[in-house]
Amino acid sequence: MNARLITFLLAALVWSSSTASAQPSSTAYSPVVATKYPRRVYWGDLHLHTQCSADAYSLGTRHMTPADAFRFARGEAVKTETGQPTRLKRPLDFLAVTDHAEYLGAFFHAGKRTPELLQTSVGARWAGYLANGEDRKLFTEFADALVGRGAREDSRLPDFFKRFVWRELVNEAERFNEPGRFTTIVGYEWSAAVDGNNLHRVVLFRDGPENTLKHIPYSSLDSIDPEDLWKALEGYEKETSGRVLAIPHNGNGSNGMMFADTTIAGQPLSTDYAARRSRWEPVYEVTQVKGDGETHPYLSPNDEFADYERWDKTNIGGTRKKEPWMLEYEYARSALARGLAHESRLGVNPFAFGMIGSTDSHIGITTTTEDNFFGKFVSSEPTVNRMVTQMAPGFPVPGSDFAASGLAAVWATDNTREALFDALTRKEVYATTGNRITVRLFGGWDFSPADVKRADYAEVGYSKGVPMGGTLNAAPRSKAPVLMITATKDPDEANLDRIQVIKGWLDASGKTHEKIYDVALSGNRRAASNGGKTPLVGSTVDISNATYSNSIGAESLDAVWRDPDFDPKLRAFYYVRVLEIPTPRWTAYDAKRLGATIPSGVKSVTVERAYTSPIWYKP
Amino acid sequence: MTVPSRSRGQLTKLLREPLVHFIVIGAALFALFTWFTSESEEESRRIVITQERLLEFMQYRNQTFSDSARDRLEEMLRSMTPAQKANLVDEYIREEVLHREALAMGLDSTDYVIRRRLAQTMEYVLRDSPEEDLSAPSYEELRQFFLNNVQRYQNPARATLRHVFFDASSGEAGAEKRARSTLTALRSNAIDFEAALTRSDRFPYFQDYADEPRPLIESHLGPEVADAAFLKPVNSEWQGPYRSRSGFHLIQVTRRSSPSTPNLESVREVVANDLRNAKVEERLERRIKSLIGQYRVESTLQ
Repeated sequence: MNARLITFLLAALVWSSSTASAQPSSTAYSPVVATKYPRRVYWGDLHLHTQCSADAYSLGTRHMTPADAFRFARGEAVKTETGQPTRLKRPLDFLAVTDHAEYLGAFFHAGKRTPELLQTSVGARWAGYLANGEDRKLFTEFADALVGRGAREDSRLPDFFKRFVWRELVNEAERFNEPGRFTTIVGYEWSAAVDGNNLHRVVLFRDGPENTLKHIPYSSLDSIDPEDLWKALEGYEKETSGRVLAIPHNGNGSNGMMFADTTIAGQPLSTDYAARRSRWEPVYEVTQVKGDGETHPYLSPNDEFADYERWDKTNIGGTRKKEPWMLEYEYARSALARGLAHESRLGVNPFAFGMIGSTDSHIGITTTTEDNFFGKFVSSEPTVNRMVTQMAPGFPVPGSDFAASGLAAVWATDNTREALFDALTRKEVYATTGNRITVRLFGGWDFSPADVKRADYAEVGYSKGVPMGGTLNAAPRSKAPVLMITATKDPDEANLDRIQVIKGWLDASGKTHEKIYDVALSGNRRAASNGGKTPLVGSTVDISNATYSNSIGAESLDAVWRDPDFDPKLRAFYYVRVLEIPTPRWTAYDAKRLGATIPSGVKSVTVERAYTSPIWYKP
Repeated sequence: MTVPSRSRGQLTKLLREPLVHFIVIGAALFALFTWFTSESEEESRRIVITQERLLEFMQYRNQTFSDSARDRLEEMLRSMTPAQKANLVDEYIREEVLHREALAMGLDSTDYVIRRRLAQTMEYVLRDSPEEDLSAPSYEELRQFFLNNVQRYQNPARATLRHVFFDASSGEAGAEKRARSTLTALRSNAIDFEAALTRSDRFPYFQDYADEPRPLIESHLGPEVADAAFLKPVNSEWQGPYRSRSGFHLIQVTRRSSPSTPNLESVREVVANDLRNAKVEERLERRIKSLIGQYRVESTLQ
């Protein structure tokens, strides 16, 4: 292990010295080392829980350690909590274990009767619950902590215990970090909810233990206001010269609060707020096991693919029903558009975020393909009745609502913490709903149709434009933005149906709009114009056998697309959505393999997809 | 994460409750017990409370059966106030009555899910036990385990290569011809790699493969290229053309590592972890086998 640590430190040293000059070495003999820009995409999960999360532990994740999570992600076979052997088809490139900061590791240590915890009164109380089989009380105490109710004195853990747990978690991440091959990113989840409305953020560090160990995970017991979290992160950066960021998720459980027009304190968003939010939260986790957050049929009635993995009945706490007005402030597409409106007023866009996917699994393993889906909690691991099992005690969401989603795709120069983190901050990242669809997007003014066919198209993309996450400023006279896009199927999964460009803009009267363009289609189809519908790709899905065939669709698609409706005076964003051909949903595999019955109204066919980070246009 | 709103009594939720597991286990034990003792009706409606029963009750609820856990629970029971103890007794009686009634209704045998869950829970119970002999293996033990499972820790073969791609989707013959003439030019040093790229087509996956294992290379470039990358001598010569799903490839392999075995020290913690897991599994299987040994299996199969 020491050897690995030394390798890491050396790698970090080499890296920091090479970035200090801000120029990659031009003297390297090997051409594959001398890379100026990202040549490949890396795949991982930036949101995963283990036995160290209080809810996971109290709902049955007793044995799955961070080490199990790392081993599984790097390709090893692992047995799940319920004893089922499982493995990924291909290893992931990186993983962040992000357990809840609230009572981090505490229930696990209560179960283990760790002296460091038992000497605290709150620890002794929890150990008592466990000894009496009162696991429910543990879960309730955690739930109280999320909404800040647990902030009473006798529920606070002393700093020495928090440091003790954090050191264990950081050490585990260091132990498995192999720069260049498998990167572990240190992080945790700040899990605040206001009146049961989800405001959760995953916190991720760029740094090694010399910095991260100086931090104590910030929890909703400290504050339920994201602005206070940003202050804490700012404090960390000041103290250590390290780097950290936060990634919000599940706007669909926020009942209109995730992208609201006001702060938690009820103030209208200010320029300062917008600057801080875009600084600390460069990307949004748009898809995960608790539903997809790109858009909603109510918001996008003309989007025939909008009805995908919806969670729209209540807030995360299940304490208040969803109302239609809330949706606009919950979904990525409408938030990106609202960001333009804020920007025109404030000068800064608070919602200029890129997009990633991750799992939010609470059983220590990242499984995102429909045919290898292990659910969210122990209760949704594969069993004949998981589709009708409730998510958690008192939370009436059936297991059939879980989505086998998603993954974070990162265009980075190397598979290291630093390179991955930097790609997140420049938003050269994107989301998929679980399959490894490769998507590349460049925006510029001068791409020609031949450019995208070139073997060195990426070089052209960077030299004549900006990659996903970038901004195009003030249009040259009589020019419109041109997007150069390539998309390739996951080698192990289904073919592609189409590439779409999704454009949002703010008109002169301050109203937001969206429009979808089909820019590349498999087969001999032609895109519809004037509000018509593009012919569907068809379906090869055999639900009863849970199979499909790649006899339709394309392995790879590309497009060079010029915005036909461009107005140089109006703010706009463009992102790309890539759709796979229809495939069996995990429910169909459950029916076939376990003999489970698919309840009526539950989908058994799905359309996997990728969402890129946007490219913005600023007049 | 979620916060509970209000509880709803649904069967599915009930089935996940440790309490239910306890009741069902209790029912099964009781069934066995009554089978062998054939009590009178009156006897079957008698509930005896003893210190031992309460302790067992706590053990089942806690699902720990180790000696140290038992000592702990015993201590807890001793230090209970009379009110706490009365409360525990009430809960015990309530469950005892409910489980006997459930048994009388035959609830334990009519539902396959309960049967399956029982079996799983029993496995869980058998798996869980003190870990005194598992936590610190000797070096010799570790070494033996490492040697016996050495293939698990092998570093796979990896190759570093770059390639030039010719898309066959608009004509097989044309693509192959372009590939061959580019190969000739590359080999005679008439053009370099950058120049070759301008004569070639965009490849859907990567341009370079740096230190990648065979499965990844094969999934992107197909078996022909993978064979060339992993089986032919490495000499930095441009080779090809090789056919993939999408077209023809010229490849230059600059480095290849053979599969190698790490030394134990560099993977020691992983091995120790695996050894611990293996021992838990082994012990579990041993315990199940010994249970099976206590049954007489009769078969009417031909």
